Amino acid sequence: MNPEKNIETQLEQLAQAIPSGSSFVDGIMSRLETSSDNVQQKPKPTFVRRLVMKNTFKFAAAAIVLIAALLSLTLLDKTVAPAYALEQTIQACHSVRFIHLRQINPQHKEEPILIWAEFFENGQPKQIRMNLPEWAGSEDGAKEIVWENNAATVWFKKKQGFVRVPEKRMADEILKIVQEQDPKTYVKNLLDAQKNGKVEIQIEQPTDKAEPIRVTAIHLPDRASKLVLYIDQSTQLPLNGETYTLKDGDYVLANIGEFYDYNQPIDPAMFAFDNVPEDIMLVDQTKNQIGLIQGTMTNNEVAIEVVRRFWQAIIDKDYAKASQMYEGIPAAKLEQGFGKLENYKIEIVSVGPVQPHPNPKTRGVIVPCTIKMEVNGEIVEQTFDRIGVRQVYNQPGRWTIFGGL
Amino acid sequence: MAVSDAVLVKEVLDGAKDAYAELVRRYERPARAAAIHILGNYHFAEDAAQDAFVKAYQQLAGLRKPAMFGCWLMKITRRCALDIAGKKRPDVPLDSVAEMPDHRRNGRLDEEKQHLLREVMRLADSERQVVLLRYFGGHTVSQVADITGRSVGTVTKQLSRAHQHLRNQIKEPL
Repeated sequence: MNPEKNIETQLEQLAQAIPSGSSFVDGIMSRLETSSDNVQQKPKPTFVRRLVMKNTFKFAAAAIVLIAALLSLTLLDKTVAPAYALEQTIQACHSVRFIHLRQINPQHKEEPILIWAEFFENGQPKQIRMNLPEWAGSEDGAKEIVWENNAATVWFKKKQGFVRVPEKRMADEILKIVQEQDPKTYVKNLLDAQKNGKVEIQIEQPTDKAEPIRVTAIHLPDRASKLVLYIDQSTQLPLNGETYTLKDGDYVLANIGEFYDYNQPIDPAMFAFDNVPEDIMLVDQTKNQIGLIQGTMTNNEVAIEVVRRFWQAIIDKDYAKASQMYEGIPAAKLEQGFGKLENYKIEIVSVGPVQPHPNPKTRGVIVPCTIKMEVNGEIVEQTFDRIGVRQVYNQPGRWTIFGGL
Repeated sequence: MAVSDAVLVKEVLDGAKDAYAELVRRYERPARAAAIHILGNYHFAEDAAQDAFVKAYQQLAGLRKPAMFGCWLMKITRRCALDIAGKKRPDVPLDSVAEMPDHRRNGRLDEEKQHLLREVMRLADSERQVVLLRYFGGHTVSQVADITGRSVGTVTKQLSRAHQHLRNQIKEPL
C-alpha cells in the first residue's frame, strides 16, 4: 500500500468497490412486507416507575445533589469569563505547516473547492494545490492549479490546456484565495474586525472538552451576515466555519469552510499534475515574453496592431511570431492548425474597428478582422468577429490575442 | 437538510415503513462493508447485511438511543456476519462469477482495500460511523452532522482523527 496516497481518495475508492443498489432496499422492504417481521412495540416503563416510587426519598436526595451540581456549572458559566480567546487560535495557527481545506457552496455540496497547502516556518505559503470545480471556475470551466515559487500552473480541464504564469496577478489571486482561507488569516481578520467595531463576537465554550468552542461573529452595523467558527478545545485550531447571510429575516447558510489534517505532511505528488493527457497544450508564460509592446500607441491602436501582426505572421508562416501575438500558444500548435492553409494565398482585408468585449470580466476588447483567401482561382472572404485582445497578465505595456478565434 | 437517524427511528416506531427504507438506503453500503470485513466476500456479506436490517427492524423498539441507530446496526451486522461465517458456506456457481464486473470477479476486495477496510472497522464507534456515512454513504459533513445529531464541528473533528488514525495504520507494513 502506498502510505502517501491521499487517505480520502483511498476511502472513496474503497467505498466504490462495495456494491449497492435499489434491489437491496427493495429486497428488505419486501421481506418486511410479506413476513410477520413487524417492529415491536416499545415496552412501557412500569418497572422503572415502581422503582422510583419505592425510592422516592433517595431519588429526591440524588436529584438535589444533581441539580446543585448543574446549578454550580451554570453559575460558573455565567460569572466566569470564557477561558478561550481568539488570540489563542492565532497563536496555535503559527505552528501550522500543512493543511487541507474544503470550501463548500451549499448550492454545489458535492463539488467543494479543495485546497492543500504547505507553509514555510514564517507562515508564508510554500506550495499550494487548488482544485476548482466548474461552478467556481467562471467561463474557463473546472481548473486545477499548483502554486509554487510565486508562479502558478493552471490546468484548464475543459480546454485541455496548461498555462504556466509568472508571479503577480493570477498567481497572486490564487494566493489571495488561499490566504483568505488560511485559518490564521481567517481568525486574525475576525479579531481585527472586532477591534474596529465591525463585528460583534460571542464565544460559547462547552464544559465538555470534546465539544468545540463556538465563535459567532455578527457583521455590524447591519447584522446582514454572520460567521460561526468552531474551534477544537484541545488544539485551539479551527475545525470549520459557516457563513450565513440574512435573507427575509433569517440567516441562510451561504458557505462552509472545513479545515482538515493540520500538520499532516502532504504527499509531494499533490503539488504536481498526474494523469495529464499527452496531447495537452502547454503555454509557459514564465519563460517567454508574449504580446506586442504598446509603446506610444493608444489602447485601440495596439489592439488592432496585435491582430494585424498575428495574421501577417500567419501569411509569412512565421509561427513563432504568431505565437507571441497569441498568448504564447505553441508555434507547433499554430502550424498544425494554420499549416492547412499552405496552398492558399492570404490577404488581410481589414482589421478593426475595436468594439467592447461582450464579457467585461475579460478586461479585453474585440477586434474584428476580415481575411481574403484564394486557392485555385477561387476567392473566399472570411470575417473573424470574435478575436479578443487584452493586456498581458503581469507584463505591463504588452497586448495579446486571447480566447478562441 | 438530512433527517436525523433519531427522527427516522421515531417515525418507524410510529408505523412509517418508508422511514425505514430511508435508513436502509442510508446504511446499505456501511452495513455491506461491515459484513465484508468479516466474511471477505460480497455474496455472503449481502445476506448478512439483509439479515441485519430485518433484525434491526424487529428490535427497533429496544433501541434506547435512536440517534445511535448507525452504531447499533453495525453491531447487529457484525453478529449476523459471524453467524454466517460459522455456517457452512455454499459454493458460488462459476457461471455467476464469470458474469460479474472485473472488480468483483472473485467476489472479494483486493488486498489493499481489505487492509483499509479492516482499519476502518477498528476505529472507535463514533469515528467509524462518520467515516462510513461520509465515504460509504456519500454524505457531506453537514449531512453527517444532521444524521447523527452531532455538531458539524464534532463530525469534522472525528473525521480528522479517523483520517489521522487510518493514515498511521496504513503506513505499517502489511
